[in-house]
Amino acid sequence: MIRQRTTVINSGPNHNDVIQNVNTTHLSLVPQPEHNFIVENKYTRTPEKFNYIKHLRIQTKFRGNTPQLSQLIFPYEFSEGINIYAIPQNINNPENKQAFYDQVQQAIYDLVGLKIDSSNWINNINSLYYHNVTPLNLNANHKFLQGVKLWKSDVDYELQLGDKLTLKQVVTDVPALQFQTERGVYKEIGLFLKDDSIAKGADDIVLSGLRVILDAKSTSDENVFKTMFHIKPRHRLLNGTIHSEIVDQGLHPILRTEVGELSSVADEDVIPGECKLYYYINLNRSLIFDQFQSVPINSSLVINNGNKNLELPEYKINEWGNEVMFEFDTQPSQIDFTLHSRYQLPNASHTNASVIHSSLPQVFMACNVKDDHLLDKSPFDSRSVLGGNYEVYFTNNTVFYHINHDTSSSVNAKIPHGVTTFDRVNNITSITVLIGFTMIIYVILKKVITRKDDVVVSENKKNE
Amino acid sequence: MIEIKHVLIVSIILRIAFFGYGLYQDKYMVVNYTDIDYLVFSDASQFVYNGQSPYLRETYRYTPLLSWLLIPNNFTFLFDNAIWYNFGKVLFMACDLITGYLIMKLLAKDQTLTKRKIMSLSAIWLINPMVITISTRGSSESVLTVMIMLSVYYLIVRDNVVVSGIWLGVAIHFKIYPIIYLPSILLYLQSTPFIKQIPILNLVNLKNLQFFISTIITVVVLTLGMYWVYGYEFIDNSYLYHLTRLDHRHNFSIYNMALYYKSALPFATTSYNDIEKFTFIPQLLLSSLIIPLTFAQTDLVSTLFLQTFTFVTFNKVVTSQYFIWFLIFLPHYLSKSTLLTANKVKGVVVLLSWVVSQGAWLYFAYLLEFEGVNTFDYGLLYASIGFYLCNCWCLGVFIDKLESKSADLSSKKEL
Repeated sequence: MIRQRTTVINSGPNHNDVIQNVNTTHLSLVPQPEHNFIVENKYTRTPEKFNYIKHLRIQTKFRGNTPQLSQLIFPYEFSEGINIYAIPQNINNPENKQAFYDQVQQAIYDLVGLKIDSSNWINNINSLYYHNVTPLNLNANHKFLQGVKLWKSDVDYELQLGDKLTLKQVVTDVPALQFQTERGVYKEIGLFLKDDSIAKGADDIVLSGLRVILDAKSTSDENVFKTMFHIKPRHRLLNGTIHSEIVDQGLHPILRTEVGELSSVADEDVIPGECKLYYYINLNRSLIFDQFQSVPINSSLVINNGNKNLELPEYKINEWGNEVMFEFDTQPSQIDFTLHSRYQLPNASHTNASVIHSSLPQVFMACNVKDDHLLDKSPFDSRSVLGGNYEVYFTNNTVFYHINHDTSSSVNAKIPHGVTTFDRVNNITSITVLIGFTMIIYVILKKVITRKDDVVVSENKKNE
Repeated sequence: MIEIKHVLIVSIILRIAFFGYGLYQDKYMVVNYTDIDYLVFSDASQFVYNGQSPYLRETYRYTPLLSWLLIPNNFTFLFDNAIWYNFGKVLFMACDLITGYLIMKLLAKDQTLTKRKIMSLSAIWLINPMVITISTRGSSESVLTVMIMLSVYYLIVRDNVVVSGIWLGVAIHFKIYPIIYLPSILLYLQSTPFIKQIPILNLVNLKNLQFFISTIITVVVLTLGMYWVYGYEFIDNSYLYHLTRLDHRHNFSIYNMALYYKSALPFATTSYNDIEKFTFIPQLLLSSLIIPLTFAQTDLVSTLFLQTFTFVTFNKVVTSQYFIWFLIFLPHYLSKSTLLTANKVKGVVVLLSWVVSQGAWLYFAYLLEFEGVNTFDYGLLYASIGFYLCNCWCLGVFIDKLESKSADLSSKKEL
């Protein structure tokens, strides 16, 4: 049995003429002009059990302009690209440990077509973590997803595999929608609009509308329920934008983030004086973070997971990179994060430099709030036992105020690499070493012979 | 009339001035004056101060002794820690001055040298901006140079082979390379031929045994002691790392670019002429065997200079700090060569060619490091070839212009 929960957010001013048809088997919705829907689909089912995987979470975010309304209700505030978390079980000996890595590799390959070797993972606070800046779509034909309708590719989604399998996908700019009963699928469709007339602030979002149950097994005539509910969101937005880009400095690029003046956090539930600014980033393995020298001014290092070697070239590092987070004492107007480049594989690209893409840093205020038990009552809450990038490092009573990046922000660093061959360099070097060695031996021999001659001459003189 | 003490006073003032400027630059300028290595030593000493291993500091590849020496960097009593933090630099400056003083004492042993000559030769170290910059930026090379110079001083000036052996042992523990001085010193200390047909027996005499045993015991005691405290990570970081490293990051070494390309080859790939397997051969053959056998009995300190210059020229990794290693012997060498007398022009050409070839390399390194220009395959490769060949040529000149009949203070006749 699959449970489908579809939340349709009507971005228009009211629900007039939105519902075209509703009965026990059908629901059809049409948005008001220029107010297309925002939809989150959530599927839940009982999965096939894995021997060695206790929990798996895949969070994928595509680059794009997410409408603010979507961000306010559906939190997909994780790093751009693909973020994969795994917790093993039953790995009490090396064979089982390897079996876990094999199993998780296969599962991920089947789901998103990505092969992750055991050495590619890094450890975070309670799980293995893999990140790649390139987002990947789910394989719609995977057996786990049978009966699940993936609405669109290239949209943010999240898949969790534990006792249950849940898949969430958020789609924006959706025109007309049709729903109907389907054998084996329990559907709960909600149509809501954000009602600001009742809401008190960003800490209280009110959704009002109706829910429709489409269940082929149901015999009840009543399947439409008028609904209104309050959400206390964990992820909130601060006004304004920030800009991040690489400032070229040869092999030591600076990732500069212009923060500017931030609007203050004024929600009622926030405990005064318990907010701090954080900077979270997933760094590609080609970029070195030197935790002893490169912590940005006025901040302290909170998290640095991944390979900490400061010397190895990129091709000697197996881990995908590093997960780094700083906490700021005061609010900076600009954050300069100095990086160092790992040497690249010769001929790594067709040009004479590799361009390294990393995901944008996430800059946010984290605040402690009152009534934190209401946070995880939200049906859209993102907090889980694992994953969520930075989320897992904070307590349950923390809310996050995000500042969006402008559209021109990027983290692209250029690292030069050799473009010739080992044999050429090796031959040139060997010949040169030999020439130098011969030069020295020649001079030494000349010196020894001259010295002997001097001795012979002086002995001859003595004899004379 | 300028006297030797004036050179010493000027050298102290210069070091204080450089040190003060460094504090200013660190505080007010974007690029720091303090060497990155100083941060590494200081962090390692902080771990030691907190009862932990210095090897918790990434890239700390030295003996724990160095981190122990810098423990005061972490003190807070009497003064603020910001003041104590500079303790290491002051220590390095002091070692640097003592090294200069020992160079002076060694030169003074040669009674043919005038005071003026001693003064100008010792100034090569004492008021050399490169030397002063290296110690005031917080590089620890002067701790090593003082150990080596103490060994030479006790051997030649004080004629105390045991203390000399102990200092050489400490130096070898500190950084492995001074082991190349052992054959030279043993040859220098050898007796007059006992049985001409078996020259090796000439090496066996009381002084040689005392020197050799004191050196070995010091190395063994220090190394076992550090192993006892820090275990395998000490051996791994302090010694094995240096023997096995394939340093791919650009440096002056002739081998550097080949090692970069080599490091990128798949593990299984082998080549008949894999250069990194042979780097030790010319280096050790020349610096530990041929040069000692040829020159050690004629002029020990000049031999040490030639050995060190060769060792650095043929090393897999060469950075500016390594030049300090042979600079301690340069004043003595110049006092024994004709480069400052009959061959002045050649001396100037040697100096200029060394500076220019180094400058060419630095130019391409700058373009790569700070401008992001790809200079790997042509600029850096050819510049390192030029610098290497220039070093070999300089070495040839040094050998050629070393006076054969040296009235050497360190010649065997003095013993």
